[in-house]
Amino acid sequence: MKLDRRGFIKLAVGAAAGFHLTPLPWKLMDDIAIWTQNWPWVSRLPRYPELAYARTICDLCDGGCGIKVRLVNKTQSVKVEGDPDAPVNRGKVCLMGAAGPQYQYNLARFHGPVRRIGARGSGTFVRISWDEAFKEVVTRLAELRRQGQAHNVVLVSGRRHSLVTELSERFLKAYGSPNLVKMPSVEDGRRVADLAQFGRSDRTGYDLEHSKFILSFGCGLIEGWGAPVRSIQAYSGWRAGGAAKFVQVDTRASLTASKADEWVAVAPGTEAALALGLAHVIIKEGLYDRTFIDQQTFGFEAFEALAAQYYSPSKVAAVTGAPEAVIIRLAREFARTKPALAIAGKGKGDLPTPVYEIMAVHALNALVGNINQEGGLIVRKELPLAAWPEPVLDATAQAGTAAPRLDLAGGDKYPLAESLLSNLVESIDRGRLYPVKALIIDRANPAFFGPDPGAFRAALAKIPFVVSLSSFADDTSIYADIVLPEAANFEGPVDVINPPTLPYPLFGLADPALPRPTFETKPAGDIYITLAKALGDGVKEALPFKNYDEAVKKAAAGLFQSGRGRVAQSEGKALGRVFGGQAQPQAFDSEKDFFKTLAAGQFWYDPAFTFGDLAGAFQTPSGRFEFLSQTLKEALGRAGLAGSQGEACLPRYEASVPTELSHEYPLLLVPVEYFKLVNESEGGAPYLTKLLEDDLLKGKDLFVQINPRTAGDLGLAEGDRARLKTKKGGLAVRVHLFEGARPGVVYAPIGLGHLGYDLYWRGKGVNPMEIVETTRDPLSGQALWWGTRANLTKV
Amino acid sequence: MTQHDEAQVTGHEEGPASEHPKGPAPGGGGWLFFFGGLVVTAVITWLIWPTLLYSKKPQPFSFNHAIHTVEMGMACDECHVFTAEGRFQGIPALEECLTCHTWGSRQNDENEAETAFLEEFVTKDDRIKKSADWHVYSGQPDCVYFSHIAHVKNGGISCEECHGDHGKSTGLRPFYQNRLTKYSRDVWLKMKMTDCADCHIKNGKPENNACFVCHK
Repeated sequence: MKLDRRGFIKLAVGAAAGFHLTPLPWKLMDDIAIWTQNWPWVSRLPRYPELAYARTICDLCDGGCGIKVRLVNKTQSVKVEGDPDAPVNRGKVCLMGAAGPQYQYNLARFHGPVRRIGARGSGTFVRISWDEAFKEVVTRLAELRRQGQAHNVVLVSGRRHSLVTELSERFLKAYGSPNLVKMPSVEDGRRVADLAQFGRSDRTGYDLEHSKFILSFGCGLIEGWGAPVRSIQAYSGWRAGGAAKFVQVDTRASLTASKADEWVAVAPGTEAALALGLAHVIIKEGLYDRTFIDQQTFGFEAFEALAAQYYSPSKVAAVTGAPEAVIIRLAREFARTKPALAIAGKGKGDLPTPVYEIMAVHALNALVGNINQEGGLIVRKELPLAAWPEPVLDATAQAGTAAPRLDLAGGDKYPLAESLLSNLVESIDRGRLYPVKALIIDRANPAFFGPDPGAFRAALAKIPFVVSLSSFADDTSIYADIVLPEAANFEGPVDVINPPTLPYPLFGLADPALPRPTFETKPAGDIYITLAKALGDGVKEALPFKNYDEAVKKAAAGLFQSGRGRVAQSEGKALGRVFGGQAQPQAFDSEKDFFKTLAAGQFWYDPAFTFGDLAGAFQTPSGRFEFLSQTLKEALGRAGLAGSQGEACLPRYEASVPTELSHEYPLLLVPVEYFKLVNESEGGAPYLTKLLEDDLLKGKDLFVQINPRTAGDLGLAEGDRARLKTKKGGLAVRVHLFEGARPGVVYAPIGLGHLGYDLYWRGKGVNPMEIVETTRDPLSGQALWWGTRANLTKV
Repeated sequence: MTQHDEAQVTGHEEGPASEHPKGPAPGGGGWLFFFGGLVVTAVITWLIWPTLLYSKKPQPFSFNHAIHTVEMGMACDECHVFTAEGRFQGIPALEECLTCHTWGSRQNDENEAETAFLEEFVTKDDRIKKSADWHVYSGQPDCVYFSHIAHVKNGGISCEECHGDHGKSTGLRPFYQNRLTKYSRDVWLKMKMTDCADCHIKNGKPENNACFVCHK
């Protein structure tokens, strides 16, 4: 047998056929595909990872949740669980907290300090070392201070419930600037209302868990209100076995409203009128707590007269749109159910609530005597943190802090305000008082969220030097010249002071969950202390701490010295009743013992409370709850705003939303807050985009919600593209028809339309804050933006 | 080419081939070459290639499952435990072996296998001498998230259904590792994605074939 050419070809064909009859080609193809998984630059999972939990406190909001972070090889966070021993959240977390690990490797993060090299807002930066970054900032700040321009430095801060806030205030004061401007929040209104009626600021909390009737004036109780996880758990408690009735007053069928026992729909911004309407009925029918009114209140007659004159059910029905019968029934139910609690603070609390509205709701609680009662409004006991030594201001600091504030807060015109971001922007824009030479942004995102983000961005262009402490390339930090990134969630030590609306004092202190920051970041407290040290002189002396840890411990030592409270610890069982329970003060052998226990337990709190005890609750001039506020009278009197009869000092309804609509702008634009959308500077986790329904965001289109009836009038159908226009500008949106929307109102979700962050959030949707118009709170001067005249046209 | 062939070719040129076909058809061997080639590659690819593709690795110790399960009557999950939160621990760490087998607690020094184990892995003061780097026969790629608790506890599938009588084996067979992919041969034989999908369908759980169920 000879192998000739033909034979050879046959052999080859046979071989090829044989090859294909075997699994080899397919197997080889498959193996080669899988082989690509093993290329050296493809990251692999560790084969036998070490799994552990690290405890810390969630740093994404002020809620004060104790969490356990699941770590792989001690360095990678993969999961967040609630800490069952933590008094605020009792083992639960919210959706934001659960997305926590996604901040560790967030694409929008700065990997260390950076210097801007591109145009402002372009987000083009170059990495520099911490030494260089500090040197550059300190050189600029020292130069300004030397030239007597310390007051030209402004700090915009979004922090409220942390000792870092106090460190930054102290830093700025010792440096010589009066211009610490906080981001607007519901707490501005709460602060003034508390001051007016209780004589003390930021001290009211609610015993939500033990109330039998909860009347919520627009509070997004299950949508991020107060200490979010605690509020949701309180809601679950009411639900269990019909333990309490929950009534939601809301302009729209929000998630909270739709899950309430009753939803009372009112026109936007008329909540105060409804509260006063209830007061009218309660007083007229003699359903109020006479003993409490006689012994513990001041100015009841004036309030009675006001309510009788202006807030009859028929008048209130006309303003709010709530039926008269409902107003009367609600008033009776509220007064007859014990304990019944009325709560204020709309949405999740990022938008400021009018002061009068909060005062009106406080007044309802006072009428039924539900103050410092079980299930009532609680004047929280003091948190006994030790004060740091009073800073001695040097000559430069004294001169600087004596300058008027750029935002005019606390001045003649706005005597009750603490800070007014809108005024700051206005001052920069108009060149009022003096120019801003340097701006420090600390955990705030005013170029996205605030009274007028566009105006803020315009103002930024006039400021020669902008420093941001943000860990993320957010809407504001992309305009910074230097970024000193603070430690992000899990990376830095966390301290929490009195989470909002908690009825008992609480201080949380936790170590970072991660052994070291993922990127080159530093805790914000340490950044301020380092800056102070480098600036020297009086600034250095005012912050005489080695580091943030030492500063916090000095303050926390006061908790031990007070002999009050207890530290959270593992009980080995579910945490029982916390507030007003039987917990005895915990004894500690020494300060060292206290800090050891605190390091393990993370939370100091003082849940002991004697219900009915009103001693020291009211620090007003009368020593009582003041319907007619003398504090307001005095402050407004100075400004000539009190009114002849002092009627400006009583809870009242002042329209903060336009009541007259025009032909050109026949609708009302009302911003809506969503739990899953972030307004501040914490960044957005990619996970959270998965929670956005198709009728909230589809592709890059934001949906606004309108009533089908309104849609019919406008010739709009579900999903239509439309132009939302106000006097300030227009936005391209799509339309979602929603039965729960009030006719004539356009509800626009806020939290989308970012200019910063990563590809998961940037450029998705639009930001309604760009086109809303503001009014001013008549008492605090704070910008309010609960309603803007608008129109919506099909495109 | 041989002379005979040349002659044939020459002859073919000289006269009409159709008239005088002599000897075998042109191309010698006919289909034999074809089948020859077919057989050779089949042999190479079926028998030789697999031995080249897979490296054979011995396990660090010839563990005897049968003694534990058959003789001592232990259940699989006594060593291959599920943690309280549901995580499957896989192959137990050596520390687990030491809870029963130490020099100190040894009852019977005639157990040669135990002695061999102790000699190799445990110091005389009963601490771990070196780690046992077991090769996992059914280790899945990183991109696959296989949950044991979902199958064993929630799905009620017995260990044997996937692992056969591995639990009754008296020694550990060698581990064959694909040189290219670095994965175990067993995975390609019985735990490919199609096997997962077929089983899900067979058991009435087609929804578990959605991508994100296994690929996180």
